[in-house]
Amino acid sequence: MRVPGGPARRPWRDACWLAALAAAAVLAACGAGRGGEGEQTLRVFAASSLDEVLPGVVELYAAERPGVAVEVVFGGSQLLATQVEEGAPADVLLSADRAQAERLTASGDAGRSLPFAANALALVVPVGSPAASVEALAEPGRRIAAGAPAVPVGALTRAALARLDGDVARGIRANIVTEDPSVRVVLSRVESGEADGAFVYQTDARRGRGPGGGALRALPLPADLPANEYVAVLLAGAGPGAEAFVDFLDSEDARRLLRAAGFLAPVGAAAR
Amino acid sequence: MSALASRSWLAAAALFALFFLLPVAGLGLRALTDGDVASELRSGDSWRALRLSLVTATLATALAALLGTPLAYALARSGRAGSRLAAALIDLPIVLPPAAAGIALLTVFGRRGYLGGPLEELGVSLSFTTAAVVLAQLFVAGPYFVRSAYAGFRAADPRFEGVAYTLGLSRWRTFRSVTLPLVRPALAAGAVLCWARALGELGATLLFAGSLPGSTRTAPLAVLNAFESAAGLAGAVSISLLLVAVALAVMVALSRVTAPGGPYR
Repeated sequence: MRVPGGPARRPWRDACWLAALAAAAVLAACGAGRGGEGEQTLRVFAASSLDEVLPGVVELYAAERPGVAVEVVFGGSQLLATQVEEGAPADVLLSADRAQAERLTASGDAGRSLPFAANALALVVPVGSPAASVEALAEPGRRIAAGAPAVPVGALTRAALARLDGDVARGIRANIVTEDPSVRVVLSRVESGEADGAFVYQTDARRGRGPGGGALRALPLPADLPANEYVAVLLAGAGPGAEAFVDFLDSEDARRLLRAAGFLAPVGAAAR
Repeated sequence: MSALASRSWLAAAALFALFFLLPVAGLGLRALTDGDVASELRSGDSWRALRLSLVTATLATALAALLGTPLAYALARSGRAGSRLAAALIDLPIVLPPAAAGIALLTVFGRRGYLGGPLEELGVSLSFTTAAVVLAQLFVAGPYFVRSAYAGFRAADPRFEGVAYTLGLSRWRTFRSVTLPLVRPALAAGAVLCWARALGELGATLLFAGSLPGSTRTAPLAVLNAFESAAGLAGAVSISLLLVAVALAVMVALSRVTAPGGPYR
């Protein structure tokens, strides 16, 4: 390293330069976290089951509003809500269940919340798999992937098992080989062929692929299962554009995209 | 060095040390002040995950020592080609992200993997079993053992072995009573490093072994799961704290062999 200001090498000067450089880098990194001058950046934390449909929705939203940039971070709803509680800089949380919205409202981290979609549980197997029924998956030796009970899809899975016939439910429970931290990981177990079946959402059943590249099939589950509601939560201290984004999720344009991806209308939407 | 220089040197050192110590202290403080953490610690889940972690990390380390010692010895005594292979092996855990390691293991040992497929035909399946946890840890942490053992064997002068041969000792006897005592500290240090890395393994374990309480949910996976659950931070803190306490206790107990400038340097 060339030291400006003199031919003699002074180690502490090097250290000062290094420290200044490091400080500059840290400052620059902090600055990069927020959007550029004049451009409004909206940060959205979203449940990982929205990862395919949301980019299209965001694109449509941003196209109508020049100067607005939307940054999306995907993750498990629980994980994202905990990050918000711990001070993560997000404007909106799109949770895959109501529980997170209620939790954040109780802790004072959230304002308004709006249900904007719903998703039904699906037990998927690759098309052509020998285990082609719920009963077949309950036979000893089959392997089923599920979400952890703390994850929305995992909670929905437990609710479904509670409504299945006793022996079948017992068999399925015994065959669950993993309780994964997000629905994406659960889906990957069937896609890689490591599991015979997986409890995911209907939207995953549509887009997922079996290990051979073939489609997935959703096995019939009890019809009276509650669906998972997706709730948009306006977070405390949200920027000015956040409210408009939440409203946009309730618009016909956004609904159309969500429907096309296999999402259901939120409960009570028919009344509106 | 001037007085100013030595003072700023000291300040930088103290800052960096604090950077490591404060978060650990934060865990402890949170546990003391947060009532939920205490009740989480009393529930069995944290301990079950910790026990699984201790058992699997110890198994993985035993396997690494058993298989890694001959490998390191062969590499150290095999000249140029050996040292190249050794360099690659030694760098492996540094360049390979654990999640990528998990995928790599699936391609070979998974149900449809190159070896896992034929094994499945024979009725043996690895993924989602405790054995898969051990394999994931061995894959990620084993190179740390080989690295240390290789350095130990390289530093052990082969002329001692030559003298032993001239005195009529067999190869095995020479290895056992001449070479091994010379490298024992290096092997111990490698084993401790390997064990510590295995204890913290998360990514490869999740992808290759899954996460099921009791059979594959190790302490790091339990931290991840608790962080996402209703217990939230309290549960995550309690397991993290157990993990740190146990790891620290073991490291301190073994510090005689692992400290920089310890007996083998």
